[in-house]
Amino acid sequence: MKLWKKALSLAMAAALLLSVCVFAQAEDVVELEYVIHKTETAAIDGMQTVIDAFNEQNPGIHVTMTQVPDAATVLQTRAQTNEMPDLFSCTTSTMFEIMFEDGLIMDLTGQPFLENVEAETLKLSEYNGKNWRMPYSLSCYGLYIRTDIFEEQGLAWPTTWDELMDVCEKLTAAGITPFTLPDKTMVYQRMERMMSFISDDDEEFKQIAAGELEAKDSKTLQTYANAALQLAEYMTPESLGAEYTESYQQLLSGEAAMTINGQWSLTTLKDYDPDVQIALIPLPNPTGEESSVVVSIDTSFCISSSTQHPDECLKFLEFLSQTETAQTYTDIEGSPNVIKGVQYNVSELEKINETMAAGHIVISQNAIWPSGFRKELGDVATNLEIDRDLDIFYEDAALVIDDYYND
Amino acid sequence: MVTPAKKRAVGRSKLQREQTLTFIAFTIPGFLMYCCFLIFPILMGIYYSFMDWNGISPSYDFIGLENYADLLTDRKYKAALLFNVRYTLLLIVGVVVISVILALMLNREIKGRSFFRTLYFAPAVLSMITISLIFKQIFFYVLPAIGQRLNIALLSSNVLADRDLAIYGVLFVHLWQGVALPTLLFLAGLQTIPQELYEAASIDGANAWQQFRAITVTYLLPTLSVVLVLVVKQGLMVFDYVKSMTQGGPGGATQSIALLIYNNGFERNKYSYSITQAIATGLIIAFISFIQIKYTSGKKVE
Repeated sequence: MKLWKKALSLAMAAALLLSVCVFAQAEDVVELEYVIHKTETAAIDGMQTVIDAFNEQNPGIHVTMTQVPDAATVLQTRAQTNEMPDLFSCTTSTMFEIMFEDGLIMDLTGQPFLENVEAETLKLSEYNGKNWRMPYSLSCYGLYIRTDIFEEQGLAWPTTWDELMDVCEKLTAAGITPFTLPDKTMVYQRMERMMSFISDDDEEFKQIAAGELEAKDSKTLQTYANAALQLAEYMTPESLGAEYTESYQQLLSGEAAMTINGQWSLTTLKDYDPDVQIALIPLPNPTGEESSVVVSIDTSFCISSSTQHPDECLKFLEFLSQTETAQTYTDIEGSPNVIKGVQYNVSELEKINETMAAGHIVISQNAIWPSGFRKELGDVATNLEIDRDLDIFYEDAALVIDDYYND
Repeated sequence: MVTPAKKRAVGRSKLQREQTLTFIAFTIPGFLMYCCFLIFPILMGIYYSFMDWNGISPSYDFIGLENYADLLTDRKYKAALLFNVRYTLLLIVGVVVISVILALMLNREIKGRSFFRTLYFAPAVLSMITISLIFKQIFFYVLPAIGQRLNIALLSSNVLADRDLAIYGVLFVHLWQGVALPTLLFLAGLQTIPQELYEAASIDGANAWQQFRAITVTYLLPTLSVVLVLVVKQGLMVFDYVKSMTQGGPGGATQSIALLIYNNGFERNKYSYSITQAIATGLIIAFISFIQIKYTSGKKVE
């Protein structure tokens, strides 16, 4: 009996010691939380693969990924309650600029790993002359065409706006609707990307807000509106009620031969139909000038200044900046990467990559427009497609511009 | 000298004191939680509505009544308010009419009554978002196909993409799900009506409509009061259906106040201003509810 008691107490002591050891060991592992801003499966898979590789190489650090449907809102709420994650990714928006200004994000200027990022993009991602984020991938926007339909109809890929309109005419004559557009929810995006290559800055909007320029005399608004009305003539009747999924479906089924969207759609389109024959080419410029590709920084990484483990966070960013890691991520996620040495060979994007490589790049205006502006001006643009009335468009656009630029 | 009467009085007051203590002990937890989760956030909201907080920065400034002054000239808020009023009125009429009719039908001796009662209640247990997503597909693929086949111009294209019809699309889905609970409440109300009243009325020669108006409606008034409070609140605060079906579109035609508040807070980073809008809306709802409860409670059967 006594022996039994002794054995039990010994066993309990051993268990206690063991748990202390385990606890101590657990404390040695630094836990880092990373919040991803993207919701696409490909991006999440890509990040998870990279994180797994990092965790394996660094036994003392464990990064976990948090994925939520609306990361910007979640980050804003967490900033309010001082519960920022150690690491997060973001796109360009005023919300993050407020965070940079308020010191919620660590200054990465001068970190050696930033040298692995293409210099131009790094410069582009600066805010007030400092690097608050490590840019990682770009998104580009353009014209998707069903290459098989173009071939059947003997049509050349359009390079100017007039050629595009000509293609539309010919397709219509052949009984094919030229465009399917996700215009129930996404007019604002196309409007913003088109305005981005119509004018270099938002100087006209500032003038309209200051009362120095009439909305109807704005080259940006005029050119956009006329182009949008032309496109509206050639889109499927369902477009105004279509979101991404429905427009993908119309493109894949051949109900329409073209759509205007970002390269991020390619992965989904190929998922739905691996055999689909498509290409993403630069969207012709309605001003008649040379076509450029509108890009924006799609993913960049930030470290919050409140993290308890800045060194480990920097180590993670350093890992991400390695060409091999970036290549792994790009191969899965599918966006053009800005880490030096990453190969980006997607045949569907050949044409757009060529244009970008030739330096014909325009930065998306969303980076400089006031927060929320593009969605509200997008409502006015949607109404233009419904009413087809330019006067109402200019009038309403002026109201929205006044709202945001005189705020 | 202590008389027995005095003794009894002392005993009574002791009992009363104990009862009061018990009452307080039982009330305090609920009261504290109410303060913590309702009163305190409201006070915080009022505090922030006088600031210029962007929702992120640790620092912000006092700007007095500026947010409230801006609200008075905000055309988007006015448009959203009008949308909500219109939506709420349509919702009230829809919910009351449909659920009273359903309740009357389900209160009759019909075959498979329990089955139908369960069937009509089923939509209430589904998530709003799920239903909205399903209906969004129906509006895109199914309804236009039916409309075209039957040559109904109104239904031949996506209802949600039409500026004038989108509100009805959202309303239809809201009604589909929203009548379930009121139907149940009206059904319960119907069962409290004594059958003798109908017998007496029919002996007096009252026809079905007169019976319905004089007896059924009168007895259903307390339930109606509850239903109205629920539906008015739902209508004035509609968010989920709009956010998931139209996102306020097309062209801002279905922008509700709740969606506007959300967008101002999270997309425009005008947090303080969005709180001001929420407070103003809260006051409007409180005022409407007050009038409505006062009006309906004066009419019910004692």
